[in-house]
Amino acid sequence: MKITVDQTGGGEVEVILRCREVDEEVLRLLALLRSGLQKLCVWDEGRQTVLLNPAEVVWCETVEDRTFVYTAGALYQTGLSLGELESRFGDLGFFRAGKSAVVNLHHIRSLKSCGGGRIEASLPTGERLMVSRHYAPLLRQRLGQEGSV
Amino acid sequence: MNGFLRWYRWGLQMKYHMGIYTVGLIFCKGVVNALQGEYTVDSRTMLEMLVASLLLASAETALFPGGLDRPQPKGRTAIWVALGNLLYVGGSLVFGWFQGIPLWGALVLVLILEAGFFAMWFGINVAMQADTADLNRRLRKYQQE
Repeated sequence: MKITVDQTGGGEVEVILRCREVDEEVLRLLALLRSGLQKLCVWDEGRQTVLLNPAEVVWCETVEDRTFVYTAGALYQTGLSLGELESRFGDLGFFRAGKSAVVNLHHIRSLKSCGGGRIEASLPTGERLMVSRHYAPLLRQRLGQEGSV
Repeated sequence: MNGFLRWYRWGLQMKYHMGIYTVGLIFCKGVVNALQGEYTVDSRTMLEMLVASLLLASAETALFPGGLDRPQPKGRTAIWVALGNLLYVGGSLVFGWFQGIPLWGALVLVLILEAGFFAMWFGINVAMQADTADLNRRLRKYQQE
């Protein structure tokens, strides 16, 4: 892939992707560019609103209909559901790990195969997140393990 | 808030194992009862089995804070097996869970219990370790892409 930065002075930043076909790599690039424009609106315990870069999110969970967002060093809440988080930022590595959790695959420190077909994910926040039996085959498939689903 | 969430997740983990052990015990009790021509299990016995399983599952979280599903120090594994035997064999003797079965039947039940512990050890130390290594290799590859 060739990257050219053309400095022309004033005006709005314009990104043009020239490609033979819109393949997986181009789609990933598009997702990356869009994610740079997308921010996740969250608020902290003091009700202070913060626009968070989705790549900073380690994992999210719902407890009693409230969605909590964990970064490496802070805890926030968001108005988005886990389904919305997964669909908006799935290309950035957001993965549904259970009914009540979404994890950013890029932040997982290690995975561990567990009993009952489950997978445990160790996170940099010190948490251990259990990927349920229902979602574990999807994770295996996402990581390219053959015959997972 | 963090403390509550940690406690909530600990509860989820613990009760999962407690549930599996309780179901296993009640299944054995059901089979033994059926062989003796009785097709019910009384709720007091089920409650006793639940409490024994709760104690074992709670002890597990203290003995293996990182989880049972990983290679463990031999000493702690031995304590866990001994505690499992104490709770289940002891519970059977004290509460008469499997009353009326012949000696060979009791030996079969103890063998099933020990085989269950061995199967867990084998699964954790051989099959799961290989799967864990493969998962982590694929995770690194995904993260580097």
